[in-house]
Amino acid sequence: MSGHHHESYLAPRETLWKSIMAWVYTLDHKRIGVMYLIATTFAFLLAGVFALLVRAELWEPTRTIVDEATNQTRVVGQFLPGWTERGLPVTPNNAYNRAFTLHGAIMVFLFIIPAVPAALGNIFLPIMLGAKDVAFPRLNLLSWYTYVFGGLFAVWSLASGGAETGWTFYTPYSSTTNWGSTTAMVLAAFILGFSSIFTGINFVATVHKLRVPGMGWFDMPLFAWAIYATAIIQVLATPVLGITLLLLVLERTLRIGIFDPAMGGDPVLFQHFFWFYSHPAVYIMILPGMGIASELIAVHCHKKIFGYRAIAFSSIAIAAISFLVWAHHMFTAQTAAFNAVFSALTFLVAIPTAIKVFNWISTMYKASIALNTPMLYAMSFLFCFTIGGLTGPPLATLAVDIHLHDTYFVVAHFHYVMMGGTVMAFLGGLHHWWPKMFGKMYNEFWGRVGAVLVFIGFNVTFFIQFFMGTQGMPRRYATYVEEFTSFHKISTVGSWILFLGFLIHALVFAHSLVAGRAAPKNPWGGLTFEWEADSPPVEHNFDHEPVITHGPYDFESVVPPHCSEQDFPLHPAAQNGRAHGH
Amino acid sequence: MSTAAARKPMIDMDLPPHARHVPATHWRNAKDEAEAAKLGMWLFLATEILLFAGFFCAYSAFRLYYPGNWHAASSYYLSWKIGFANTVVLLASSFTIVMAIRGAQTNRQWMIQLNLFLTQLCAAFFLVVKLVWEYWPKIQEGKLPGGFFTYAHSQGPHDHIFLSIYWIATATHGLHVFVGMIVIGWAMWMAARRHYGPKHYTSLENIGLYWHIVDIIWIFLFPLLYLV
Amino acid sequence: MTHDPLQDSIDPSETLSVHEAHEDHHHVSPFWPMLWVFVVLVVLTFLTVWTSRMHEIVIGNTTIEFGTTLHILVAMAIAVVKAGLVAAYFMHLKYDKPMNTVVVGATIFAVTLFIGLTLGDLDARRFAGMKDMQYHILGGDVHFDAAGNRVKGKGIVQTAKDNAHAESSSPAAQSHSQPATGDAKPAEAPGAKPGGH
Repeated sequence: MSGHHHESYLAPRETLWKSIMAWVYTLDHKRIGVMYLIATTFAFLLAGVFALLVRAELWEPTRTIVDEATNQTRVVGQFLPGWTERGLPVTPNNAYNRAFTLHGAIMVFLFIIPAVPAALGNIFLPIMLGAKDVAFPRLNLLSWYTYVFGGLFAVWSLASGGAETGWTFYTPYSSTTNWGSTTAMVLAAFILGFSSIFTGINFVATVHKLRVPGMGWFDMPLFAWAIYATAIIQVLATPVLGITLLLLVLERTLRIGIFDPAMGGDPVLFQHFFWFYSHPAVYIMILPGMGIASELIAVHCHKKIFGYRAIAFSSIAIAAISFLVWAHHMFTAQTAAFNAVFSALTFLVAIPTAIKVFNWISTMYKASIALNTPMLYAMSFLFCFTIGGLTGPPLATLAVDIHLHDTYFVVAHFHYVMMGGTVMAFLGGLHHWWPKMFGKMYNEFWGRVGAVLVFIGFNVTFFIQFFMGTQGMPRRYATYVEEFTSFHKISTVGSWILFLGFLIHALVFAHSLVAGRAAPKNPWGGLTFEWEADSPPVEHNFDHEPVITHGPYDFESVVPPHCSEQDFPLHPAAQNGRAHGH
Repeated sequence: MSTAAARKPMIDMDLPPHARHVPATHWRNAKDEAEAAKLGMWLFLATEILLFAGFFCAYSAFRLYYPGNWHAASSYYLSWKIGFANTVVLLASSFTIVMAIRGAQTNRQWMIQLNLFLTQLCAAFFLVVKLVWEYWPKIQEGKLPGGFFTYAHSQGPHDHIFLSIYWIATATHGLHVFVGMIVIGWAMWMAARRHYGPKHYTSLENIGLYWHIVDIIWIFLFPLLYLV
Repeated sequence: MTHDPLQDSIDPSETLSVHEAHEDHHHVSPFWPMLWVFVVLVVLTFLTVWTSRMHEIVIGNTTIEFGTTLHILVAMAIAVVKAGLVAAYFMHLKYDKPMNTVVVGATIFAVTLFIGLTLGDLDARRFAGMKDMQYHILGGDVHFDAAGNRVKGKGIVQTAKDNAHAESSSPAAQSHSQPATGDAKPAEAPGAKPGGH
């Protein structure tokens, strides 16, 4: 620990062993964040492979063949052959079920819940607040190792066949069957929940206690507000996932019978338990992305964010309202009276969300917009997230939801908000903060190419699914009627374009790490504290404790640190736009 | 920034360990560190409360479904006297752990150690009574949860659900008591090394907070399972 | 101790070792008040047990019968008071910064939402004998004919009406599995139906 304070946090130590140990035993939030980044990216790619398998299987509807000898109907899949397990034939449908379950479970629990908070949040929250670290660095390390431990359970589950219940683990299917290794996957999610809880505890305490003196609540960057709101949800909602999965494991092992109708239990009770966590969980997924969007738009439009307090309060409002709406996932399982209650409450959550979207758009108005990769992603985010958000109310409308429940409309909706929202924002943030994290610039041209391909690929994949859904194509079905074939083919082609976009990004980032241009301290002209630090930052973030002299978005009155006034003129509506941030 | 050699932090090695505490480097002062630690602990306790809320929700759900059966099963399978004794003992242990903290606040090392020991004693009493007088007889008679329920003289059709809830709620609570005992054991060791004093007893306070939550959960479990 | 230059950014005068007159921001737990709290807690526990054994109160000519619901309410009310005492005094919330109480408040809010709304939904779907619940959810009175084909029932609205009618016409109708212990309230009696085990 001695003597490395003025080196970059990435600098290796004297020997290989010491370098490795410096990462294994690190208490540095930046290193923990980078480890999370690597792990969540790997999880994203793995879950993406399953998604490609799912889409490949859906290329053609399959045909049923009646077996002459046995007079039984056999469903024959195109790409996922059957095998036997425990003496029983695993049909291609089982294999397909596993593919979408693993796609969902790995994406949700191993990627999207931890990615923005635990990777980007870990690295940048303390720096943005002017702190040297998070409140509880050892808890941070524990959170990381808990994630690894949970990930190992997930790998074990994968190796022993995965699960095929859907990532929602609905009973009684999940409590009575065991294709593959359901218990292991459930335990993995349980452990990963604790990782999320520890991160949440850390961030709440950090925001409360480690702000630089003079930084009040309304001087914080909006990313910090978003992370704070997310952390509140993580602390309050995730334990309920813990108890839900614990009860499921007890149901499977001890046969306690609380979800089994034959023993007097209630399967819908499981759904209440599960969605009480999982609905706030989707706000854990999107709120940090919204925080990133605020940062991206403000910096790359070089304009003060419109309605700072509105965005800040709306983050807290979304966190609060998110606890009130969970049963809108259960409209087809609930009584009419409560359906009405939850439907009404669900419409409520659109309000703070819309406030944010309007504020972002207003920020862009008459601004000096730099069309670099992060900004392209910010604009993609606005477009796609708005579509996703607008397709929420049809699902919240009871009568319409009876028709749309468990169709591709729902699939398209949540992919638009989770992928079109969070993943786009995540990629934008990754490009935005890449120079700061790793001290290297990425290739801007190919970055934009990747962004455009991802945008096109994403929309080709998912937009058509709205129509599939309204026409009645159910989700989680491996086979479908002929009429949907062209829809599915378009969607599958989109998934390939999407894959190409991600591949380009991966290559761009890899290239940047080995041969990228050294990054300046403030390539984009940002005003928040991370742009005062070195690229990459030193071990304790700052040489001198930062002093707060201006707000986080005062572009019209403050020259950004380490930048010249020529590159970043003070007038909010600069005449000549900047071609590149430099 | 001051140069490295100019100032070393002054630690007087003649002072006992609890007076020598220096906050971690990312904290501006010890007060912030202590308050943050307490806030962090409360956030963790919030998660514990929500975890047990699941048990209470399941209890309520099945109470709602099978009301008559539930009340009868409660008095049929459980002895309120044992539960009552355990409740009083746990309340006493809450009191003694507060006194242990008082010992740290008033720099009476004997008080810390005595009260931690008494807390352990109460916790051990709780677990022994539970295991020996509640769990073991039930295991022998087949009064087990759900699918393993083999007791021949059930008094209602949904006894196994009642026992499921009873077993998982009290076993999880008992596990928390056990973990608490381990942590208090660690605190006793730290207290023996003079780790706690008026200027530094944050971790003891946090252990106390955990212990009180365990007590509060039992305050709710006792009437719901044993009395009504 | 190896010298850590980063310690320089901490003002030594603020470390505990030197600054003996450091402000005690923690209220010292006093002995006798805490003991009193303990005594009150034990008394309340006695009270909980006593009221749970009580089945009626006779005041003059009036007899108030304690049903199970009242027992639960009274027991929970006392439990809330006990928990409040432990939280405020033993856990020091009364003397702490308000943020800790805010955390507790938010948690209680979340728990109330969770249990309250879930139970509200479940309450509306209570049927005696969960074995048949799955058949009641959407189709009302669904059953199967001899060939194993599903026969459409009368629907949930009609079933609910019939149940209500059956309840009001025979208030003592309870399923055979329930011993008669103090909850004859119709609201708790499950709808008349066959097939409990």
